[in-house]
Amino acid sequence: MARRNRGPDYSLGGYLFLLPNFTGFMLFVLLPVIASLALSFCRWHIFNDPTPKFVGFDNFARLLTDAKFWQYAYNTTFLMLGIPIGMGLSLALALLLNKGIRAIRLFRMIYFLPTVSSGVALLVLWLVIYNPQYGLFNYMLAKIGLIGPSWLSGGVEIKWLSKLGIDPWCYWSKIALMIMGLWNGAGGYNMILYLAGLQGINPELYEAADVDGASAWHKFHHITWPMLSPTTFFIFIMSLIGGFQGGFEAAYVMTEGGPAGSTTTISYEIFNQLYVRSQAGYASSIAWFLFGVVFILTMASWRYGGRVVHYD
Amino acid sequence: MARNEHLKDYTPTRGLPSGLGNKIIFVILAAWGAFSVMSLLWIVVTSLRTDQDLFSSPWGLPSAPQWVNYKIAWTIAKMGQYTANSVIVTLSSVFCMVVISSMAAYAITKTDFFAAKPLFFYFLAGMAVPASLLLVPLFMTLKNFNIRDLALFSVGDYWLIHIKDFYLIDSRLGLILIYTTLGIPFTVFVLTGFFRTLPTALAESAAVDGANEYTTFYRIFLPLSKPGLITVAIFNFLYTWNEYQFALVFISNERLKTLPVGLYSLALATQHSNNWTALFAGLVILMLPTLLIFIILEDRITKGLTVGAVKA
Repeated sequence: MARRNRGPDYSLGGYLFLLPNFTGFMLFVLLPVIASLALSFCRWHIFNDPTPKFVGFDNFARLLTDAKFWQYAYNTTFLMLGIPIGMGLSLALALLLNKGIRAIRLFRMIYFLPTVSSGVALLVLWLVIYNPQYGLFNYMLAKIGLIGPSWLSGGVEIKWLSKLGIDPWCYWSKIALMIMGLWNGAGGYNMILYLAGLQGINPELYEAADVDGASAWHKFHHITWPMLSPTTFFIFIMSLIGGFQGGFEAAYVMTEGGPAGSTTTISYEIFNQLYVRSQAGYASSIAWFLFGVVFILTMASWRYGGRVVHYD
Repeated sequence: MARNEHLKDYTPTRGLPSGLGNKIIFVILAAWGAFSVMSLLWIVVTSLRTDQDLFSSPWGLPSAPQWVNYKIAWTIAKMGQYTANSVIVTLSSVFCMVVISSMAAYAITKTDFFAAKPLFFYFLAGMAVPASLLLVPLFMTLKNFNIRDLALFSVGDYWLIHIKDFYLIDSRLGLILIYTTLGIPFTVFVLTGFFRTLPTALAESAAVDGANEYTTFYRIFLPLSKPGLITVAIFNFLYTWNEYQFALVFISNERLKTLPVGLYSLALATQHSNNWTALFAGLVILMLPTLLIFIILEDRITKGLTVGAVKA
């Protein structure tokens, strides 16, 4: 047969069916991405400069030498420390749920509620929870005799840090955002993926281990963990990509990036440079720098992560 | 698993300390779930109380339901207007996404269109483009696109089509276009997977019966793919309803804001008005639609989540 046996052949139909898709994608994704790459080599104050002015690698040079930018990069990375903790929590919840609890569907549904709730709604809720005077967090701490700090704006001064030439102020804000993120996310997508992974493990493996008299820890260490490694790897990569680009909403709604820039992440800085400071060129170069870092790290993870992942 | 029939009543312990009683596990799970449910219920309960009651006892129940909070949120805080905007933007975007993407998925999987495979990867690449990279160029695109006064096919003072003051920034249409395009890669990806499971022979026999490509698509494949269409529609609804960053950057006109952005305005205003219970009513208005949809369609959503995630 000359023709592949796949159905009617109307090439025109193919074009027409794909046309709206192709054009929309071209106009709002492909061309903007190219434009943004070009912009990252230009200086363009949206309102003051009539046209973008080519400046070569100036934006990137400015970015790499800007102490503020490195502080924001540090903030972003620090907040990503919550990723392994959150993955551990998700796995723990999934393991417990998988122990043959009767109401597994009800629990799964309840744990997922924060994930389908509007992010902004949850942030506003936590703004109230963290309120130093009448917020629930300090209310509960007061019940057990502790005086909670002002979580989103307060901090402690550690004097000896200044001797090392480091800013002696340590703020609670990043910790507060991490606690919030863990509560919002632990029962979400990752737990569902872990649960599906657990249910996909062949029970015969555990039966064989039982026959050999393996302890619960041995079974987890030698069966569950390796069998879940593709899931863990997938979740890790997705969290890595999301984590580098995250933190905008929390910074915008809860802290305005403060106190003293301690919760400004790279994505919030991109927004600030564009929307507040009108620096379209510099904002683009930060976005491309971020994209480059994420791309390299993801590729490296694919390349070297494959060694620790056990595929069935 | 017929060969495991003899093991029907045997439940192996799955890599957790088997000494832990199911009751202890149940208590841990219930505690985590209770925290989740309580905080959501707390929002609903508080939205029906008075401010004085809230400050005297944050955990209390309403003496009499204060529906006036909802009235204030809906009219004075304009949550009614924001809801209308969100409904228009979300429903239009989801409708366009599903229609356009199902056409593309059909062309990719069920026709002999020569560029089907490269196009599939073109859409796949779209999923890798981070939102932060698109923020700057899309803002510039929408900002610069405007038609102040354009008469088409005009002769003297007469015209066939007259466009006046047509903008894409600060416009619901602009936001719909952006959401539709950004939702397309994911939707095409899921729907191609779904269309592949449908027998191609159906298209061939329809062609033998003299049906053209459009009839085959609308009469045969669209009805068959209903479960897949509903699943992607739900996911896109949840995403679009809760989306914050683009809605914030692309719309600044008070009358056109979507719910999440509007809620933040309300939260800001609350710091001056101190009408906290109205803010909670606003939170309920924002969260209720997605929570209801999730609770009703929970099974479909959690199943849809794990499809193609790890093995893809």
